[in-house]
Amino acid sequence: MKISKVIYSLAAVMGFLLMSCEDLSEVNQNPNSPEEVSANYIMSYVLTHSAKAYYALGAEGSDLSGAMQYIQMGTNEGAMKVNQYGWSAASWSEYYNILKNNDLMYQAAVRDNNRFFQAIALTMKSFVFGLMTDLFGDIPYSEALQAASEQYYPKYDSQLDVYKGILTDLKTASTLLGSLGTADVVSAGSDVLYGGKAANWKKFANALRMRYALRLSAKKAEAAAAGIDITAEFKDAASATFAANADDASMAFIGTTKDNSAAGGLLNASNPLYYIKPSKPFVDKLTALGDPRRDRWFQPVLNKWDAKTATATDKSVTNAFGETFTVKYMPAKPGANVDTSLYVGLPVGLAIVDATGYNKGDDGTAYNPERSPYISFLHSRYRTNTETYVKMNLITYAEVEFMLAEAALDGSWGVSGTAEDHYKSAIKASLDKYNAQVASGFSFDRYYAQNAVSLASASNKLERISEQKWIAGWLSVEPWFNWRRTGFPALKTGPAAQFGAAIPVRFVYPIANADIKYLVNYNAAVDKLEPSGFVPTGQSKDHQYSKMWLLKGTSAPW
Amino acid sequence: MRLSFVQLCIAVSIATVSIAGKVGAQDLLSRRISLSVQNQSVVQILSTIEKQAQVRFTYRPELITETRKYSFEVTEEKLAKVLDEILDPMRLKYKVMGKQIVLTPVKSNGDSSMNGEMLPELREAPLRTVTGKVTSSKDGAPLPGVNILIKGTQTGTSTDVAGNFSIDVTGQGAVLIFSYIGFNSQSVEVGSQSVLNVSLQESVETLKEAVVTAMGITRDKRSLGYSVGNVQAEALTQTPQNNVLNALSGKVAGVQISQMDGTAGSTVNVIIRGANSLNNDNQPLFVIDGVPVANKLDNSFAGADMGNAISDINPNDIANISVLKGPSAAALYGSRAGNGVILITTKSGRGGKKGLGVSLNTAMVLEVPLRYVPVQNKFGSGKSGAHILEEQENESWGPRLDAGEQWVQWNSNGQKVPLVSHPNRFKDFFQTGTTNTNNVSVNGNYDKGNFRLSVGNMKNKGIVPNTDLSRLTLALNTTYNITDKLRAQANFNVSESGSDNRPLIDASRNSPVRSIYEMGAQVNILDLKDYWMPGQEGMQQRVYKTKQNNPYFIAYENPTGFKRNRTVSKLQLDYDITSEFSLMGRFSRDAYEEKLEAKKAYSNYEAVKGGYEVEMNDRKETNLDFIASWKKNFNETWSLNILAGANRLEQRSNFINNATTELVSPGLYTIANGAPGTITYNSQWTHKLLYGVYSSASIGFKNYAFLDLTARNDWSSTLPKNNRSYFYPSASLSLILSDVFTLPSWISLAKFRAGSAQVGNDVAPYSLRQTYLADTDWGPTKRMYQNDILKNNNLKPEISSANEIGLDLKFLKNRLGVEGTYYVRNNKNQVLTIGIPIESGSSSKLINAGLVQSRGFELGINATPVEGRNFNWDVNVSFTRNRTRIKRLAEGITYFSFNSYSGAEVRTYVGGDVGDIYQQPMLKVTDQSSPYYGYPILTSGGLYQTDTDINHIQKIGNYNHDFLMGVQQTFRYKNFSLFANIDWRQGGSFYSNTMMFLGNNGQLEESLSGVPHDRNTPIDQQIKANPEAFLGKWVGGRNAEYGGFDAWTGTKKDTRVQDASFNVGVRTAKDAEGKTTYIENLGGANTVWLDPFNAYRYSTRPFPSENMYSATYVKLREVAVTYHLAKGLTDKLKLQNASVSIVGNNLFEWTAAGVSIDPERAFRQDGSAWMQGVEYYNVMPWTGSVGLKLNVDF
Repeated sequence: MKISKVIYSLAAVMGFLLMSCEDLSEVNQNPNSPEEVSANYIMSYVLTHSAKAYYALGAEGSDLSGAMQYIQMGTNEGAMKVNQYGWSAASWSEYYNILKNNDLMYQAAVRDNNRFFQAIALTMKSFVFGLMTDLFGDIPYSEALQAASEQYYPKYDSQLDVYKGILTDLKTASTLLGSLGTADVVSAGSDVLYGGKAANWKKFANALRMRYALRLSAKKAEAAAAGIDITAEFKDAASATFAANADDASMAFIGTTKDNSAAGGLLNASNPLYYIKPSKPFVDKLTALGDPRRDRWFQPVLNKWDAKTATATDKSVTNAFGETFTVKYMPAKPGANVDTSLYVGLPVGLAIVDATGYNKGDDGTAYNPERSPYISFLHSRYRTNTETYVKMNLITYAEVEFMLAEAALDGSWGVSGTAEDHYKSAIKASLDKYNAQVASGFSFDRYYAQNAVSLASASNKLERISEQKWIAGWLSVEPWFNWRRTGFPALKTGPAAQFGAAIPVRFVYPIANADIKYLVNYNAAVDKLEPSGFVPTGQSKDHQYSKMWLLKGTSAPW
Repeated sequence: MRLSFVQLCIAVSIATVSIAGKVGAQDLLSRRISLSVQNQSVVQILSTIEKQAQVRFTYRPELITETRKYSFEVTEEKLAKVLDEILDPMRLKYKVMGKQIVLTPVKSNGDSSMNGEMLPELREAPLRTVTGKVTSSKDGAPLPGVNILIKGTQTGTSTDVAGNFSIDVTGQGAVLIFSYIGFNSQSVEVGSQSVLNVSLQESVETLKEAVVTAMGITRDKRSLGYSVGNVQAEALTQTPQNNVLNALSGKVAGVQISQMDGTAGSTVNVIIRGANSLNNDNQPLFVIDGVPVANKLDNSFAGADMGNAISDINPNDIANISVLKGPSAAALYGSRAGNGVILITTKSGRGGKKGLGVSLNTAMVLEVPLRYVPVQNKFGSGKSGAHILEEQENESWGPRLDAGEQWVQWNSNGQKVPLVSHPNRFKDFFQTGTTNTNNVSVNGNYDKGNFRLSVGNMKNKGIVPNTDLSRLTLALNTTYNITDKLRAQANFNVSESGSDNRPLIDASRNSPVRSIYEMGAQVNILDLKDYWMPGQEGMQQRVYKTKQNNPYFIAYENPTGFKRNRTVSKLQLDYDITSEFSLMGRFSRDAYEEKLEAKKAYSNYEAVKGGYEVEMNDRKETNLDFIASWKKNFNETWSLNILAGANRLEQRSNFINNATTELVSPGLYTIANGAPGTITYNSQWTHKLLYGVYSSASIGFKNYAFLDLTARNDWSSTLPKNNRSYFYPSASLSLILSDVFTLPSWISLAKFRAGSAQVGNDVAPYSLRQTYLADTDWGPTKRMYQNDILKNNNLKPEISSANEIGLDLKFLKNRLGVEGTYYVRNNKNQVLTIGIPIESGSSSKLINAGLVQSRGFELGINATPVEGRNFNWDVNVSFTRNRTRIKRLAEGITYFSFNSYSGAEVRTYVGGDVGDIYQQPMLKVTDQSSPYYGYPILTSGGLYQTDTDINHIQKIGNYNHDFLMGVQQTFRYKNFSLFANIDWRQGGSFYSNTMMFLGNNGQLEESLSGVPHDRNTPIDQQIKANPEAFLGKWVGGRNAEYGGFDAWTGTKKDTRVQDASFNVGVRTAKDAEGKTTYIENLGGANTVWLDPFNAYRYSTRPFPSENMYSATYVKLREVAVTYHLAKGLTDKLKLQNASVSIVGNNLFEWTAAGVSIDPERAFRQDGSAWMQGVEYYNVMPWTGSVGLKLNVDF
């Protein structure tokens, strides 16, 4: 009796538990993350990650900051890449991840019939794809991002087709942004770039149109054959774009977490990046021009060689913006092979060992090789998590003015205004961007009047514009693309360059997926590259010294 | 009273006779007994003695006619003496046979008894004597001690040593019953025969080896159609282990155990029959007493390895481990059993002696660092050349030490002091670890049930200062027989494991070990022991360079610890409705909660303002099982065993992680103390439900053929609705050939077995639909995104199938046993995270695809080469060979990438073996017509370069061993025993990142000089004469002494004395027509000279093949010398058992590679997984342990 009770109740309990099947589909509902979200949250992801990726590409210590000779890597092991151009396969994962999410934003925008979001998505798509084709040449474009529909091995589109798509999308974006309805709004908080202002977005889209039209300046005929009138695009875009620094597509770092902070701040670099040195050509150029931006970007040396000093003496030095530094003046023996400047850059492309000892003169002290007191450091603002003058600039008003100056100079683009006016506006915009006109004793007119600055006195006006564009583009990517197109500024490599006396012209494709289906596409793209004499014999044509379509048949940059 | 001679037949009162314990006659008779007799008859006295001395008296009742009552008292008297005193007066003598004492009358002269009075019943019929011999049917050997009983009476006898017997019977109808342990009993009608020779059939029961199989069912091993590994408690606890898995190493064929980093308590990887799944961790399912428990491979937190959760179980509580190696064995467990099952049975009170027993054991083990990677102590920090000290650098390519060079050093107060080497930096830092283990268990065994209660604690102090590990376990196993038919069981296993600080192994700058490995030999590590800057305690650590943390500061101020509370519980009711039909219901739960915590103090290199991370995990799995089983034997020919069951499985896990990367107040480790904006939050909940029904049938025929069939169907919540239900069957056959055929007598058993099975598997929860994840906040702005993993709403359950055949043989009365198995496992349609090009928008996709096949064979050998009175030698050998091949992947996908690090690509192409490692080769001249054919092509900067063409990727090795072999030997001599477990793993290779980094950092001896060359012959001539020796290598040295060249010019000549080096090959240029010209870089005029650091670095670092090493090794994993206290002594101490052992682990290791990197550690922890084949800076020294173990049973 007792036993059967136990058994029956047991059976009842078991039966109850086994029979009362919960809805298994409900159990598998993910409680942690949603399947659909507002496009606003995706937008903030796309914008911040695009800006960070673009900024990182040109920031201090990047391959391009070395290629453009803004900086040198001192003694760091990265010198092989940065100072000596021994580049290896790059990665584009981050870009495609952004593009995928951008695509999701676009789909959400279409679903919600929000044309503002559509325009933003098209603009960002053009921005990222444009950057990629600039870097690599042919890229997966038209068939990209379709893994969800089982398209895993997209073909590489020709560079011309990519540029064409970009210019078309940007035009569409500009048109959409000019005709938004009341329902076409985005959250101001999520639009970390423009706070939800459509007018700014339109200017931004048009600035990008100008950039990409001008990018094809040496390929006008081929573009026209493909149905793109780059001069018309340029002109149309120029009529509705940035007119002041306030319009810049620019974002600040927040500075509270690793992810939202600048690379040099303690959150990202607990060992401060002292090994990143200003490069000598850049520092010397700024010094020669008396350019106040130098003092925004660099610090004086800690130890300065001085022929007039008999014993080592600490002196207080004030820069153009009133910041004071203690500099030890060191007695320089007559004839000593030392740089007596207050701002000393590191020569380009030295072997590590030579870089370590640079400008040490007869000082036998063992210094931390990364902190040689005889070479300037970057300004301390590059070692903070966030700072007024350290911003992620996607495209600036200054660049727009430089483009207009070049177009006006050429004369065939039909832009209004003179080259000189645009050139002046560009330089002013850049100075203002760094609030450099407040430098003590600075006068723009005096600065501009110099033979080395004024456009009128330049023997090669394009070179002059490009040189100022290079300075204004400090730690950004665009100067490299500009140099590649125009060949200016005429930068020279150093003694330890890994592939000869030239600066690289493209990024190496990411290590290819070895799947045969993939390799067909990859090999086809590589086949179209034109290896220069700097590519070692026997090495893959997928090399930083191979020319992509954009550069083929042009003499620039070399 | 006299008895006639005829009456002197021996009557044996047969009860069950146990001869299990071999007790000598003298032994038995010298047992001491104490008696207090008050007015008892002889029969009563004998019965009392029976109980006390555990003997049995056998006699014809008529023998004892004495009715007198005795009263006396003896204390601790020998049994012999007591018997003499009682029996002598009755003219009885006795003879010891086994545990029986046979009483016979003393023969008197003249055999007066012949004429004496006869007992009434004996007078009725004439007696006649039957004699004969009893032999074994198998080999005809005589059987001594066989019991013979006349049917229907208490009368009997037993055979003598030669197997002969003699018995008196009455009449013609007498039937004799012959019974003998290990043989089938036999009844023989005497008839008119007077000589009766009987041959007894060996019973199959002899070979009965009970094995725990799926669902905890104990089966006779001979009936199993698949291979099951079985390890008993004694083999598991020979040497004390923190993690019981370590004790399995080498003991079971087909099982590979690797302790992936060398520290005590670190994660142990168990792979059974090959890593067949490409994307899960291939760990088997663990089941403790029927309760599935959680275990996983990835136990990393904040850079430390917290160890497997299975280490929560106290090895001393384990009675037995069964390893179900493949789907055939494990099919009933379903989904999770694809990688095999490890069934752990814990000790219970059952089977022990009645009443209470207490068992104590304690062990103290010292963990001693035995060997460090040898480093050079000749040159100090720096990388600018052999004459410049740069203490800030992690590299040691600096100036010569102990040679009079004077430099300002970090603690020389700005003074130049001589550079001296401090070669003992490892020895000075590491300490001897200790592990203390104590266990007490009490078990009780009663008619109404049994219990075992055990308490164990383990405390470990690691070899890295201030690291530890502890475990406290409490286990209670109870069984209560509610009635004869209804039994209740309750098991509780409660454990608390934890560590205040686990050593970091991620090779980050938070790893104290890396800090030492990147320390220049000129630094005296003992100077860093006071790790705070004076006056800045808690704020600023004392460092000798800014690029690295002080190792003591890391160890003492930046702890990473955990605390895990776990309860494994079970309630079970068994009801035997009839002797054939029974029901079982079980509720079981494995639940743990775990707190993980990582602290970073102010001034930490990677967290200047400190940091704090805390994570809480709680995980719970609840199973409800209901099983009905029915067994029946049909007329001794057929046996049937049918089982049907249902299972409900529910898993829930909760995870919360909060972290801050900046503390406001130093030293206060709370999330609330995180600086505003620096706090990150994360939480995840998962829930999974699975229903299963299963059934199995075991059919036996004549006890020599057995067929097992199983089937299971699951419904899992993690699969799409339409694919949610999946069915999988299995079948296995066992055939005892030795019973079917007549085999030579030296073959004791020959068994053929074959099994074929499928196991279905579901996927992880939430694998079906794409969702958005939250990125860290951008200030006040929320960000959401989809990651690069493409989910799949059409996933099907994966089906893994396996076929195995095997042969089990036993020879020479089981002195030698061999078990061999060949298996093929096909993992089809597995759910793969397949890598796809990111251009498609995702870098990986979940698909059902492919066919991954593991093939292998395993061999187990058990032998007792010597079996003697005083000396015994047992050997157990396991041999394992496995290869896993990808036969097919998804349409259009030709390879699977496992890992990629430092240029070593661990990937497998379709048709290739899992474990292949590839690299991009060195770029070389391929123009065969060129005189430089085969010469490396250097960059303009004079460095070796890789050939980046993806089509030229080159295979450089495979990480799998060719075979594994484990040999355990036990030698017993009298009271001593020696146990040794040797583990041999042959073949395979691994890429050593440690060697790469140590070389790169100039710490290795081999980084002192390049290829040896002759100073007196121009180097380019030497190279051209013998290119093989030079191409691809570093030529030069640190200074003239080590082969450096005097090639520097200009100012370099002053500072860079004779350390010029170079990479050997040609540089290319194009002439005016665009034709390639080669410029020699052979040490001649156009050579690009390099400093030794770069010359070495570019010849090794980009090419993993330069740091590939053989993975062959032999380890003495365990050794134990045990002394069992002599019986006499234990008796005196009133103990049942006592032993003391000296134990050792990993005291010896030989590696084929000859480098001091343990190939067993060729795993790299990669954030969320362990990657095999690439060893990543796992630079813990080799440690061995020695200790003392004490065991006492009351």
